[in-house]
Amino acid sequence: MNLLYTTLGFIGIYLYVSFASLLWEGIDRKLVARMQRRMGPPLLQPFYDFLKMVSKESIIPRDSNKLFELAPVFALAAAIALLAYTPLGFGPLFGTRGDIILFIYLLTLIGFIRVLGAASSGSPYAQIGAQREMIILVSREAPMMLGIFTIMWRIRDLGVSKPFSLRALYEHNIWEIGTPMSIIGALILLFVFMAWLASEIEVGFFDIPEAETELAEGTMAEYSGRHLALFELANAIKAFVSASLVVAVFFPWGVSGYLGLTGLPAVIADLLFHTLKVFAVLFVSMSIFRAVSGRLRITQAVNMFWTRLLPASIVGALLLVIDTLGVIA
Amino acid sequence: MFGYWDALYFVYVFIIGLIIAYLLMKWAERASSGTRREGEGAKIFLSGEDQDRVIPDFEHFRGYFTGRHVMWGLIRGINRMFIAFRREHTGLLGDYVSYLLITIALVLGALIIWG
Repeated sequence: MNLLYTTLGFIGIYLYVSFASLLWEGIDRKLVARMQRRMGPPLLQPFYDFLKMVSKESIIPRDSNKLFELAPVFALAAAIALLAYTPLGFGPLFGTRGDIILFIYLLTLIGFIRVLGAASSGSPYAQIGAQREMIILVSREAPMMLGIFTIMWRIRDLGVSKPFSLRALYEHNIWEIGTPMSIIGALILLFVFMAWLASEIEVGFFDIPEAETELAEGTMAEYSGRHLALFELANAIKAFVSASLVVAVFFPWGVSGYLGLTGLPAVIADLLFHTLKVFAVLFVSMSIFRAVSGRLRITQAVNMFWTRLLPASIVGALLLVIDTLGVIA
Repeated sequence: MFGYWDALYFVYVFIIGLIIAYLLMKWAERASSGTRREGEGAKIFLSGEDQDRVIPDFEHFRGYFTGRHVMWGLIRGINRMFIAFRREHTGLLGDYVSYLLITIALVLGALIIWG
């Protein structure tokens, strides 16, 4: 019975996040348009786009293989499975000890499936996009993983029930330590996470694998109709989930405690508040970032990750580690 | 959540994800105006170039990509780091022993501090 309710909750979360992530895309397009003094599309444009793409004819390139058609289904399946391990204002539904590793694995898997789909299309544009995606994938994960594992390791000492689980972020958070070193370390890691988030959703500097004006949508060059619709939905969910990780790590506070709510109303209130926080984080890391910055070359982006963000992550992690020595209380 | 077998629930969750994605795809297939797999429209996009046109001396490019330079961006991006590492590979045994000693010193230092 427990499993049945959890499964129903999981499907409910999938429906909610699909709606919220597409709605965010609409808000983002409107906001960026206003920043550039344009009217922008209607708020519900991503929903119209999705339905329009679903109704259109899908074109399968004659040189593509079967993986080209299967990739969108697998990408969406991975995005949906990811929701079972995503903190959404409360602990993940299927969360367990060490689920952070599974979370990162699934997040990376979506990008990897995109690469497989693009490489199976037979298009040189998609192939170049795929190799760029692969390169940026291996570059961006190192700083993020170092940061998240350090934070998880640090809050483990505060007495969490399941170490290295995403649920632990709602029991204790990194700001609770309160020492100057831990706060500076956490702020540095926050910066690293915001840059990682921008690269995860490929905006601004990191809009390299798709690069519309250069690679004609890169990895997505040959996708059309319902296949593209499924990929777009998977990407929208991925953006929401990635931002959810940043929110859970750095801004995990809920409102249900202040409002004195319990049970289902508390879950709904926390979910809505979490969605607002996700929108705020995406506003900084996505809307503003893509409105004010241009695309880097792939070598510049890789350079930035390995020689700027990874050292920044190491410094942040070291500050959190040194803090345990109690040198500066 | 469910005890010892928690990790296996990943398989359960992924299967649910696959079922939802498959149903969505099937619904979209019925709602769409079909699938085109052959004919002129099924050629790849090459900025207006014809996929079937053979350009003399450029036969090897014919719409296919060999993947020979997949790591190009990565290697170029961290080129200076590679150069620094290469410079350290002197081939002298004394150097490698010193790297080993430094690593052991760091590990021992960490062990002494954190016990």
